[in-house]
Amino acid sequence: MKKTLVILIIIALLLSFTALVYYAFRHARGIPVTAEKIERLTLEVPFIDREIDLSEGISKEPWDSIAPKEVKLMYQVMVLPWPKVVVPTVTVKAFHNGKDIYFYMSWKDDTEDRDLDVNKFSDACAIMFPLGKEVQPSTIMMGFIGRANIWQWKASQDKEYWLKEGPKVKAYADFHYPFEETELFPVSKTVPKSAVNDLVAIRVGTVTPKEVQGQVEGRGFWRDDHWHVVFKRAIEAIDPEVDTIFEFRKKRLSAFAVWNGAKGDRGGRKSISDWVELEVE
Amino acid sequence: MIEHRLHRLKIQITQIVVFVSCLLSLVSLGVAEDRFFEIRAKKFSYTPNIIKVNKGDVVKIRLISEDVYHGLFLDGYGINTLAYPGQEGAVKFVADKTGRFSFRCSHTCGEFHPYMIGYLYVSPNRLFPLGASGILVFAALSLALSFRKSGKAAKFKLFGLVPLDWRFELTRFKVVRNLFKNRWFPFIPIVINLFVFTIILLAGILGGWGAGNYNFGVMIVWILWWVLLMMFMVPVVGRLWCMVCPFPLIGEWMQRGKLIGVGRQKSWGLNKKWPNKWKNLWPLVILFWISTWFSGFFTVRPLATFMLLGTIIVLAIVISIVYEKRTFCITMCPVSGFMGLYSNFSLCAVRRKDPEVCQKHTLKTCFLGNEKGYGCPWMELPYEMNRNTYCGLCLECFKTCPYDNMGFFLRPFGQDLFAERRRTDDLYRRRGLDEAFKGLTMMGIFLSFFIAFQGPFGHLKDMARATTLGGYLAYLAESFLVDFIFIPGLLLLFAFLSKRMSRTKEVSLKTVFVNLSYALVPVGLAIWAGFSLGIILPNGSYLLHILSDPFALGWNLFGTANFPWTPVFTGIMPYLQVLTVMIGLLFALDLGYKLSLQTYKTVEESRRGWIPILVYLVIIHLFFLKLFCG
Repeated sequence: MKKTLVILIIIALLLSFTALVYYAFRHARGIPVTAEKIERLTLEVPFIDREIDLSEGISKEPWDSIAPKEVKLMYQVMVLPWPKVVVPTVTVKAFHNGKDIYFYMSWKDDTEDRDLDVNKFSDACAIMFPLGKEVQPSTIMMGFIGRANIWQWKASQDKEYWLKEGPKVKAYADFHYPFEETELFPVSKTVPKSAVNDLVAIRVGTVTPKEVQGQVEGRGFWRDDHWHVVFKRAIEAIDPEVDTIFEFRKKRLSAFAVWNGAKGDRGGRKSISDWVELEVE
Repeated sequence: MIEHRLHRLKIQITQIVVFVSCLLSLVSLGVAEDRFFEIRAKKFSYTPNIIKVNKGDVVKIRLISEDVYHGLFLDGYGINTLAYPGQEGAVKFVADKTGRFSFRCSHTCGEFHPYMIGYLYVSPNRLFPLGASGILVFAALSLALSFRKSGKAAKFKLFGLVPLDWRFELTRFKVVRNLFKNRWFPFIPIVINLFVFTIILLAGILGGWGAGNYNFGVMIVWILWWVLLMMFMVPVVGRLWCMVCPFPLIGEWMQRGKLIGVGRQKSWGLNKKWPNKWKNLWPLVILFWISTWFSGFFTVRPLATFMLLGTIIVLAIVISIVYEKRTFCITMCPVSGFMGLYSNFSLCAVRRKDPEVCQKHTLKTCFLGNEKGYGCPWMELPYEMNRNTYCGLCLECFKTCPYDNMGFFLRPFGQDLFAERRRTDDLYRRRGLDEAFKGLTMMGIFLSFFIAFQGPFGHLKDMARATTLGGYLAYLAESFLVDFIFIPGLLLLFAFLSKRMSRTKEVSLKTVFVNLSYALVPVGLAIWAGFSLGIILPNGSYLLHILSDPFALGWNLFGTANFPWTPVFTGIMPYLQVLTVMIGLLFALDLGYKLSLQTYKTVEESRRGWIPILVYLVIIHLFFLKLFCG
């Protein structure tokens, strides 16, 4: 009798365990968690009923009411040489007023580099927005894989555009592709239509200024070892093929880059961020 | 004229000095270079997996992911970057620290994520030659001391300081004694442990095939428990885990009919006796080795951990109702074998206090039981127990002894390794090949685990996780060859040399092999402690996450669910691992020579026979050093 009972207990145990394993197998197959989700920084773009006239400055007031986001930057990977230093972080903020969208970037820079000369380069910053809905383009080289719209503000161009002061020297270097100015005789150099270059790219080596410039405005100030730069553009895109489309309550990607001219950053040598998600409220 | 010549000579000497010093500085420091590496990350390895630079080099790394999100965290430098297909990572740093540094994935990329490792060598690596010099110096000192000491008296003191038979009774304190005699102890800790293991099992079922580093079951069992076991429980208290283990609880309840009080002395069920010829560690050697076949699954997959633990629980119940008492713990539990063997080295032990009291007490209630408690569930003879191998610290002998003659003692490390044979030793076949092979296979399993899980070789990780059947079978074959042929073969060779050099004819080769294998007990503990450091320091921070969210349901019980992965002290980890290896070596040298004295008949024979074993210990320690920092 006892033997039968022991055998029954063993059978019951084995069956229960098998059932449990079977359940676990079935259950587990339903939720295969193999890797962490990619968690991106989100930059909220709130509605603030304010307009900034950049000709009068970048206006401190609306920016103070917006929570900043610290975006980490890393070296731009490129064929040697790499940038000498990395700008570790850039503070970004954004808002819209229903008509225009504004971005604010601020980063630490010990020197204000607005003048171009031989072996002297301008500080700059940029925002990239991928275009289209295909495979996510990489931030690498600001438009490596897919189409992208890039807004690049340059301190030298800012001086030229807002302060109407052209380069003091007749020749300056260097003209490294991309993000550098077209190599021209200074006499034939056109007057910029904005402090911001509005660019498009479809893959590596294709960064090209758009035919129509001036849609994106920008202005920067250097104060207390920091740059403060504001970008402004109308929310409505003029040409959806090449202009960034901002849709309300929809997430879209963006990336940020900073050049430190005093450390030799120019062209591809810069500090770049990973993707940051924009959420226009 | 002379002044002019002197001046010229002066200039020439200065030039030569400047030239030579420049040359020397170039030779000694090397020329700092810009070094660029393109590292491709793919589950679960880096290509290249080993990179070598010189001190002062500016190192630039471009990280390219070929499948999912991967990271690259560099131990010692604290540098981190991330990459996924289309988004590359980049780091740049000056290699100003020398040595071997692991770079490891910093973003959970799948089940083998914690094992995704590569090595960066920054020359000159001073730790390895420093450690190797230490090993040689210690060995030379040991040899010199062994030839200096007079007679066999040297064997009675550990490091010549603490008498090996010294002991201090902790149960002389009333609080400890009363606790040990209370029937609620260790029942309460077992119940607490049962609660924790219930959560572990539930997390195992719910976690399924998820990544183990975010699973309560995997993290508690393979990160916390294993590390505590190897670094604290076994070396300090011996079978402390067996004292609080919840697995035999149900089986024991069925056997006794009571959970806390004293019920049946004779086990309920078939109450069969385990065959005498298997009353040794051989079943445990084989079972633990077989369980390591699946290490590539149950250390990373929650469901596999559940299946392993579930199998152990079911087996514990089944064996309990078929066989008497704790037959399962003694002969079947996979972890019981190494805990039993290594417990002989531990700092604590349960022993009788006065042998005369036991001699006069003819009833032997510690073995048979009485109304206060059960006869030793581990079927030991507490009244003459002199080794920890089969003492599960259940504390029943404290309850059943009417003369309070059992004590819990603090003693020098390794005391039991010299225990004299008793008549009952034949019953358990103690101090035999089974214990020797347990120690040797533990070394082999350490080797396989370290190279596969903490090494930089992706193809070995693929073999261990059975991405192909052929690769998996090759991994098992390698494990068999290393554990049962190569490592025992190497000791056999040196045991043979030892016997030859001793020139004895009275001691058999088997006795030399078995006796000297006990010198590997502290070595085994030390290398496993080093291995455990490689688990807990990089991955310990995941524990904070799983404590707050044990079932991965998005809970945040203690506010630590979002604590990021934070490796701790990984920069000095190789130094800590080398330190553990050195401590193991020191004990092995001291205890090894004493074992040699115990094995051979005369001091001269022991000294001569000790030399090959010393060489053997040096060789294996140089190898371990190479693994940890070379």
